[in-house]
Amino acid sequence: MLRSIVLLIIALALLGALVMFFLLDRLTPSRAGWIALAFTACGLPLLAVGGGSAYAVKASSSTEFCLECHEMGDYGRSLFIDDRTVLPATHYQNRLVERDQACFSCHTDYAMWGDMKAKLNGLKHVWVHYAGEVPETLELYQPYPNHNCLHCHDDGRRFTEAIPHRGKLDALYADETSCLSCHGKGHALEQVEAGNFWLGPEADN
Amino acid sequence: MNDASTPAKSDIAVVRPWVGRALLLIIIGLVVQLFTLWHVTPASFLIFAGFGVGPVFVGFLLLAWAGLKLRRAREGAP
Repeated sequence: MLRSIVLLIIALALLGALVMFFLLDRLTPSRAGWIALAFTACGLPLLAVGGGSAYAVKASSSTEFCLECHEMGDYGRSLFIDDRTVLPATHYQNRLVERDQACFSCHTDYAMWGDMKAKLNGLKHVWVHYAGEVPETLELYQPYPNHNCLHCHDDGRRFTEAIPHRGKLDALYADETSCLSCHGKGHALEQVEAGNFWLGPEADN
Repeated sequence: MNDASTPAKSDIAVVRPWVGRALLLIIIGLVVQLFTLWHVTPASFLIFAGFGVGPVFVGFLLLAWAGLKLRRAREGAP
C-alpha cells in the first residue's frame, strides 16, 4: 500500500515537473504560473523525496533486503536451525520477532538514533559489497548490547521470573553481564554447515 | 504592467535557464527514484540515496539560488 502511494506521488511529481519544464516560458509571466512552478518544482518533489525515503528505509529493514547479499545467506539459513538454544532461530521460528524484519529487529540499536546508525552502517555494507573487500569473517561493530534484547524482554514476566535470571537482573540492565554470556550461540553457522534445519510445521505432521 | 508579485519579463529571462536546469535535475532525480523504489535491493537503495535524492536537492538549491537572483534583479541590484 505504502509502496503504491509513494510510487504514485513520485509519478505525479515527475509529470508536474515535466509539464512545467516544457511550459515554463508560457507559464512564468503569470502569477498562477509561479504558484504552479512552486508546487511542481518544490511541493510535489519534496513530498516525493520524503515519501520515497520513508518507504526506502522501511523496505531496507526487511529480511528479504538483508538476504539479497550472498554474504548474508548462511545467516538467513541459520534462522531455520533445528535447535531451541540458537537465539536467532528460536526468535524467528516462534515469531518472537516479525519474520519480515527478523534481521533488523535484533541488529538495530533502537532509541533516538539507533535506526539511523543501522542504516548508515547498512549503506557502508552495501558499498563494501560492491566496491570494497568483504572480510572473511563478519563481526559486529561492538559487543552485542543488552538493551537490544531488553527492548522487547525488559519487564516481561518470563524474563524477570526466570530462575537463572534471579539476582542478575541489575547486572543485565546495567549491561555488566551480557545476555550472550549464557545465550551465546549467535547464528551457530556450524549447524548451518551441518544442515541441521527445521523444515516447518508441514514437515512435523 | 507588472504588480509586485509578478516579476517583469526581463527579470524572468535572467533566471529562466536556471529554473530550467533545476527542473531538469529534479526530473532526473524523480525518474531514478521511480525505478529504484520499484523493487528495493541494496544496490537500488544506494542508487536511490545517491542519484535519486541527490539531484532533487541540488535542483532545490538551484531554484533557491534562482529565486535570490530574481529578487536581486527586481530590486535593481547589480
